Amino acid sequence: MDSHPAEPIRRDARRLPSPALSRWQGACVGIALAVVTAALGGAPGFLERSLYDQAVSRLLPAVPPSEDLVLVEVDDRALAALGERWPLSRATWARVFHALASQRPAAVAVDVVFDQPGPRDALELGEDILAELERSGLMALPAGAALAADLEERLRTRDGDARLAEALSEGHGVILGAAALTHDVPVMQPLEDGALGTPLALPAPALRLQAQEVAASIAPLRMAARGSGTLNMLVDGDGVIRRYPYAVGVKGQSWPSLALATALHLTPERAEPLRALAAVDHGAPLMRLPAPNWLPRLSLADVLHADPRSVGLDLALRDKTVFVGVTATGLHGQSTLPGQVAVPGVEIHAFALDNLRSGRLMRSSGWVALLGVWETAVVLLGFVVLCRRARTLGAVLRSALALLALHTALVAWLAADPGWLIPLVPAWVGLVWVLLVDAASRAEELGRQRGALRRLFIRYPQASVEPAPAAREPPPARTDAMRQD
Amino acid sequence: MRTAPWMMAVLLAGAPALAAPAPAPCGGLRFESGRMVFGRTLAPQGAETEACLQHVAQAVLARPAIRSVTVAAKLPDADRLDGRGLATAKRAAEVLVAAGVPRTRVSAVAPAAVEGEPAQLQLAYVERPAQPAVARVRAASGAVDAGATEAQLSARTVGDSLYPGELLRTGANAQAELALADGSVLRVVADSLVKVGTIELTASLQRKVQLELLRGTVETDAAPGGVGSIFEVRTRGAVAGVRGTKFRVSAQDDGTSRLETLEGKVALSAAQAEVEVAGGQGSRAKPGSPPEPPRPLLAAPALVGPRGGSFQAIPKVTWRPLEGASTYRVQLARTADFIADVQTFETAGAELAVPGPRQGKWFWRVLAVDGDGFVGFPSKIYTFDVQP
Repeated sequence: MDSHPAEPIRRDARRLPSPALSRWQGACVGIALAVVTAALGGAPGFLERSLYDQAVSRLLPAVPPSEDLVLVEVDDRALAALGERWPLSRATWARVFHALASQRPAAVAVDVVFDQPGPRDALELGEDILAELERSGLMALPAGAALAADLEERLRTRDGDARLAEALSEGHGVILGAAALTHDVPVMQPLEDGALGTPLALPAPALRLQAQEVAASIAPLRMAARGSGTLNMLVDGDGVIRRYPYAVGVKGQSWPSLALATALHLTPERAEPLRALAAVDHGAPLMRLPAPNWLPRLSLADVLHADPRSVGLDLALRDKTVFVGVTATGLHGQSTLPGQVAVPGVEIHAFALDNLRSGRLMRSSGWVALLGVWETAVVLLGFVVLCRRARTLGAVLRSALALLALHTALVAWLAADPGWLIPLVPAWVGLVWVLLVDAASRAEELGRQRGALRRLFIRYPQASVEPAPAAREPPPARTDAMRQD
Repeated sequence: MRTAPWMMAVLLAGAPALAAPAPAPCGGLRFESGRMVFGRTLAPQGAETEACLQHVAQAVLARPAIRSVTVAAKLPDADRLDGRGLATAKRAAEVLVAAGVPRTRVSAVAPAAVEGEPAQLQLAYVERPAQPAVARVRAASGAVDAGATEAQLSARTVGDSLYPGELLRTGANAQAELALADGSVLRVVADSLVKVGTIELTASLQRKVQLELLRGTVETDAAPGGVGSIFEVRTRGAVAGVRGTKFRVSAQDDGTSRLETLEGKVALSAAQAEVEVAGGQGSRAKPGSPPEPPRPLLAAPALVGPRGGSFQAIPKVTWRPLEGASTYRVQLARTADFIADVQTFETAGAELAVPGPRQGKWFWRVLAVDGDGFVGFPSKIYTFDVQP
């Protein structure tokens, strides 16, 4: 066959880059993935979310049930018993908080924002009638005066906002909901001055959740309550809530979430460590998951209709931290925690409070993210070095498996014990890449050696078949072999 | 184009500003986001507190938008025992009631104080929902005031909003043009008082506009409305309901209502009778009497001069006399639309020596007025330029 001038060039183009360079490239890909994960806020990265969800929901130990948290839920039974539709009237809420205050809970956290005044049409009609009574002179008569007094008392009873403010002020401390107005929050009337109360001493620009404005309950209710906390969640692109924003930055000021505001109210002496914990991972650390049904529940219907002197109610509520929110079908937010579905938002706030005060937060950004990059780099560079030293593919494979197991165990231990989440997948990707490249280069090298040997054996066939031929015999076959060349 | 009134309604919707500083005796009082912010901490009781609360009551009464006030006594736990905290708050609330705030609008609470903060009174309020504005001042010249009542009139300027039930008054030589929420335009001439009543818009493009002319004259460019729409200008004795587009309504001091229809048709009803006044006609209704049959309006006067050009002194403006005219109304303005800075002069003859001094370019036109005060069509518009 005639040789073509371009043939040698084509043969060079098919040749793989040098094995060492390919191994370094594989390591760099893994490290680059780790760097990207760190730059995007830390683990879990885009590729490892489902792995993370499976791990935290099935492998990591669940948060044990809390003794002092209880959920008072506006459930289907409560709505049926009240004969009301959501949202409940202010008068009903006033009854609820009055009933709760009589049980002396340690704190009441409310997953509701009363951002609009209650209806006052009837009140204004009553006021007009009172004014007319006064103008007409009927109030000078005993019957008119009695009528006016009765009307005034009825109007007082029906003033839902005022009664709710009274009920909120009765308790030991009620924390109301608020909302940082981000793009995913329904339109609410923002506070003109944007002040929920006293801002947190946290650097607002560094917080993960940022908003332009904040909405809260109407001023009389905020004044009567102990404080307000935002109800926002951080929902990942796949609809799962993995992080809880303990603080939100609004126009250079930091405001607490419902969980943090409640924690600060319950343990003011621990304000400084709580703030430090809340600032972990830019104010939105990853949460550890609770066991199913970890939070004791009490229907609002029971709170309203049970005898206030009931021992059961006393046991359930006294000195407890009560979370109030809606869980009725179709009314609560469809928040999804890893491995769980449709968790009412109020439960997530309770759960976040439990995480915070027990310090069970997981961090993955900042220096933990750098640690992740470093660990990934060490694993991959170590593997590259081992690849160079290993004589056989089996040895390389054994090294890869060992490093893979070591890396996975380290990631799992760091997540389970100190709560540091470092990237898992980038090192895997790098290891597999380097392994494949190494295997390919070794296969190529093996093939090259085999070809050389074959050529050598073809050139010296007798030597290979008969290593010690008789010295005197003439070598006719050798002449033939040379001719063949 | 059909969405224009709605866009206008959206543009006009805006909350009235509530925050307003007030002087001592509270050390300053501001209304911010539902809270009353004082210049100093308000002690739970004492003469200063009482004076401040009376000042607060006056400030609340001056703000109809505030519909309830909550007084909170934030006292240390030791001072809250046995209902003493609530009693303190109620005492403060009684001061407000005694100063005139209706009892049904005042409530008292005694929440726990924040540790480390001094004992104090705090006050919060709830506003009525913001009313959407129904009109906006598009042009104004001279003294233009508006307010809820004649006693509460305050100066308004271009861009200000008007809310349902507000009065708008123009002074002598003043004029205002209002853009109504339905897209109509209302020109209020000098010495007029008009009440901006209801303006309702429905999704089916029906609209209901009710204006009340208490004094003076308004000229209306009514935007087209859907079937069943109502556009009414009420005077003391008559109602002018729009079936066309452009008309003038005047309310005279003796109770006579006068209508001049420039385009389209307008129904004038009074004393249970109604006449339809077509374009180019006028009618009037005297107090207690049905509307008079329509009469033709005077035509537009033909102007002689000046018809442009520069003059070193103010030129005399002249026009041809018109049969049936008893007086002529000469209007000068800086712009050809005669919206702002319009100066009006009345004369019996067919010429006018325009009073000065004045400089620069002026637009002028003439309207003929008959013996019963009916104003005819405006003349063409010409200019003159005074360059001394």
